[in-house]
Amino acid sequence: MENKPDLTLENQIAEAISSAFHSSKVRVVRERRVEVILRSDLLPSLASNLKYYHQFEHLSLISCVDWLEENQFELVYFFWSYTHKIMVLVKIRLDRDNPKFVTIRPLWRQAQSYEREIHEMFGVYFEGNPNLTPFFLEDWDNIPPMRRDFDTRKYVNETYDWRPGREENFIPRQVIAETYNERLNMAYVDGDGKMEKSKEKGDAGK
Amino acid sequence: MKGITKKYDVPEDKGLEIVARWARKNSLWVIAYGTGCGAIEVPPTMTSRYDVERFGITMMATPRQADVILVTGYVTVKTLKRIIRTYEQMQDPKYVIGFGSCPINGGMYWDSYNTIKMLDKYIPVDTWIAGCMPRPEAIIESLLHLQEKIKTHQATGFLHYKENIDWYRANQKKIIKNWNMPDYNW
Repeated sequence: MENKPDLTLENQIAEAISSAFHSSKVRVVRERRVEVILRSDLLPSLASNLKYYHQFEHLSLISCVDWLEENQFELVYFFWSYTHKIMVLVKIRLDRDNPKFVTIRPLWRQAQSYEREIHEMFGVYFEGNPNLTPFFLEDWDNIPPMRRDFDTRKYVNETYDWRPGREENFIPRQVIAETYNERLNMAYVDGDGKMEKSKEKGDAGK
Repeated sequence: MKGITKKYDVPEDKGLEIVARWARKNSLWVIAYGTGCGAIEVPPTMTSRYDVERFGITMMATPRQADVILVTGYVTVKTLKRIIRTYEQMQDPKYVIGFGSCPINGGMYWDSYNTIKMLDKYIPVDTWIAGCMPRPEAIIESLLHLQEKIKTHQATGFLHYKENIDWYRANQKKIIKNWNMPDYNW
């Protein structure tokens, strides 16, 4: 016997958000998870709305995703409520050429370190944040290293030297890199449906 | 390695030199400086279970009174700057132990943009410990090996560093772009 999860509270929260923010897309992902896709300028008002009217006391994380093909950055804000035991993910998109956003540090002080780190690793500037100095990197003069167009392996080869000797150990590294690229290509093929067709042909031949 | 020489004078193996080496080998003070994850293996080595103090090895808080620096794990560019500064403040004779696979060849951080791959390009290393992570037994083994090297006068990394300071400095300055450290006068 499987118990069906009780989603009434999640649905109530989702309804409250979508009735207050008409342009948002709200979805109950599963038990204790609500996802909101939002127009970027509405985030501070949604955050304060959640904090002051729906008992979302805690900002657990701010994360950044680099959508290189769509030329966008996605910021994901995770709000957690100790009262309802529900996590709300709020996703907003920014323009990748000029990534700028407003800080939410006045609402949650822990936003400071996340914003500082995202500024360092992705180059997203948070207006209103008093201190966006580098966090981990020192004297970094390249593009921010977590962006997808930063070629890590090329940078490593140019900057550091490999220990000479035991060159056969470089083969596994190459294999890892190649299989990774192959998998990426396979994923694209899968999306077009070519992969399945070629499989069927192979089966018929046998 | 290319471009480095080995010309330094090795003191003769007699008289007071032998006594001095015996004294040095039996009172190695390790600077309490931890890099990366390996620093977690040092407290058990020092405390009662493994008790490395029975060999005369103990921790020391300041670099000016320490003899050994343990580089315990991955070395980022930011850490390398601190390691060089610490190492140069230590008094002669001084010894370096490269600890774990990360200082040897980058270890699991082999393609990290911010981790150096060969520690001995930047400071001279007397003893290596392989493994990820080395256990306290391995640390004791390497310290005893270092003692043996001091006794037979093979642990000459600090002389090597003095001799080839230009080569080491060039390597260091290639990685550390903003070099705003004092140049210590030996």
